[in-house]
Amino acid sequence: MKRYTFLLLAAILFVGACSKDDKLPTDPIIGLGGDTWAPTSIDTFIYQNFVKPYNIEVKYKWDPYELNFNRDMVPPDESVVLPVLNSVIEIWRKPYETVAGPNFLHRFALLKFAMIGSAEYQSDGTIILGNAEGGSRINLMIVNDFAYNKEDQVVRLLHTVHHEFAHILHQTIMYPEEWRGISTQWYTGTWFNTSIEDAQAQGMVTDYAKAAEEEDFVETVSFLLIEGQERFDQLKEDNPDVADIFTLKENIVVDYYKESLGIDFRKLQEEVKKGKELILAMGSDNSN
Amino acid sequence: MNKILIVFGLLLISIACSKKENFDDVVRPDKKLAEEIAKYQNQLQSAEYGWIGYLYPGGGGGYTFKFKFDDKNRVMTYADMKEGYSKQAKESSYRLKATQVVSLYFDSYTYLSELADPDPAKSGGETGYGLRSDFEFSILSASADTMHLKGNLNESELLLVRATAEQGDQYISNVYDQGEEIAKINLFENYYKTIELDGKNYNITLNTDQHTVSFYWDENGFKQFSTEYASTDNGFILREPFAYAEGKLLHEFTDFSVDVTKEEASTSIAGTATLIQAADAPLIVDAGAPRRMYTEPYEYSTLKGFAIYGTQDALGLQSIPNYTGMKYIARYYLDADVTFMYFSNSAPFGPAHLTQIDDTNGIMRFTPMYSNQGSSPSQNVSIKISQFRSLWGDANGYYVFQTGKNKYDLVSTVDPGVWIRFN
Repeated sequence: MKRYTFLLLAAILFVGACSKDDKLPTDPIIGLGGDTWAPTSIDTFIYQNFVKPYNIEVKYKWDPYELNFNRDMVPPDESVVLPVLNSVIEIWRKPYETVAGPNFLHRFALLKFAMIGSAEYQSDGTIILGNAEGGSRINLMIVNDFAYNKEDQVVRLLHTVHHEFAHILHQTIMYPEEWRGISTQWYTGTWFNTSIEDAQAQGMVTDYAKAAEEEDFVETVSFLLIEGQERFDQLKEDNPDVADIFTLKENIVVDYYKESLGIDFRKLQEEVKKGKELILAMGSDNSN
Repeated sequence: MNKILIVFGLLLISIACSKKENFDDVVRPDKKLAEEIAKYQNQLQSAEYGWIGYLYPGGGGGYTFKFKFDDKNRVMTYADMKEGYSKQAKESSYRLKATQVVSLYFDSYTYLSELADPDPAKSGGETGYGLRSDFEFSILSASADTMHLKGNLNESELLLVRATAEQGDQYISNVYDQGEEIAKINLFENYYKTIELDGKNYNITLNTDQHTVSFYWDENGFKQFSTEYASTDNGFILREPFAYAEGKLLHEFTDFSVDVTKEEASTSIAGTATLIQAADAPLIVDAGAPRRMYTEPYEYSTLKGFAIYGTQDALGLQSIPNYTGMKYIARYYLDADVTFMYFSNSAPFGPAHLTQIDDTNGIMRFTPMYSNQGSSPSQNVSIKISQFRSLWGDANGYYVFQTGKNKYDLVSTVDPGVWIRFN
């Protein structure tokens, strides 16, 4: 009984002791909700084409906290922002919309594109051309060298986009078990010690595909889409020893898209090719 | 015992929160920050004629800009980096951001960003670093007409001065022309120049590639003062003032013009007409410079090679197809130093030598050793390399003068008309 009295007393004291009535501050917190600026036509374009339909943020203005802040990098030139985004729309978004329906990208969503004008130079002399984090955000690097008529730049940027998006897909629905073991013997953390040619002779589409099983998968997807079926067939011809491995991987990818996602991969390839041709043609119209 | 503890605990609880602080009078940090940002924003956009910016990148050099900020995060930029940039403004965006110190971000690509570009093809600097410049700047201090800013990554220095009505849109174009005028000082027959300040003679060197100015004099031994400069439309301003006499600071050279035939430059210092004159011998030699240059682990580069009797790039290196520059690299081999010529399409080529240092007289000698290293891309290059090699290997050696951090001029000890500038 005594104990209860004490407890009751304690509770009353405790409640009473802290009954201050401080007012909450009314000043807005600086930078809460992100930086703001007077919107330009670029911002309107991003809002209409990325934020509103898909809730995807596109960062093109410099923000050191998005990046490896102790490296020298530069922001994008505003003149390349729309060409890059148009390419992303034509070569990545529209093909998926056409083949998989308008709601597909809502189910497997990216959160953010960040654009950087230059590459990131590593202290060991290598450079980072593009990367992604957590399957949700994609860094598009060296956009300042981008132009509609530079096929290598268009392919490089969109390869990154398709690569990362394929990660999101397989992280939601895993690729088939048969993928395991096809090239397991070649996976290595030091993939960069292998040249692209050597990697292809081992049955992987790129050197980075050697990094891990899932990288192999998404590189194969990305290669089949953006580099294209013709280049892929060429790989088989150039590397007859591993042609059956390439064929096996190709079939697994096509099956995965059909069985797991309900997408006709061949049709998707066609649409990506159409988009790519459209973008490259825009380069020949105006020598951007 | 237990009860005492409980009572004691209750007492503690009861007084623990019984403070009555009044936060109404306290200005919260966010409010202060918002006020600061508004103040700077207003200051930047209120300058009717914009701001003249003097930028000293972390990697050296000095550049002059003109910025016009508006109230919609847009900024127009002129720069004296290239003739085209001085005439055609580029529009980009900026914003003020509340980082640890309120910072001015040039947040899309503009002329200023080019200096910081890690791609050497764009900045002309080091791979991965560019010219170690900045485009995010902390605002360190601001008065009505002047703002001092410091780069957040590479600690470049940016000085913004409110432009006057006379400093219109053609101003940076005039600054560029003035930069060309200053560079004419390299066309004098001999390397050495003197200037008289307050009755005392100084050697003066303008490194027009890297925008540094250096003074050398004898005051119980060798003394030197070096700093960066940025061009104005009629001269140049010094990053750090030169204290040449008690209470006398040299901030700026005005009305600067070069007469190549008379081998003199006339200028005005704080209203006093002053001449920079040619000389055929140094007032004093920097005896420590050869060893400083040699021991620093740095690859010294030169684009123009030797200047001979006022002819820049006397060997015509820049006419070699795919030539990208020369480098002097100490300790390149275990037993030899090299001076290589670099090409965009083939391997480096050039002499290997021993570097001898005479610490007493301040002389550096490059004693040829072995044949040229690498293979020559063409007959033309072979001829130029052997011309270079015989000049470079001159047994009389070179005096060395430092014009900035890791920047050295080498002047023949016997012929003051023969010199080479390493940056």
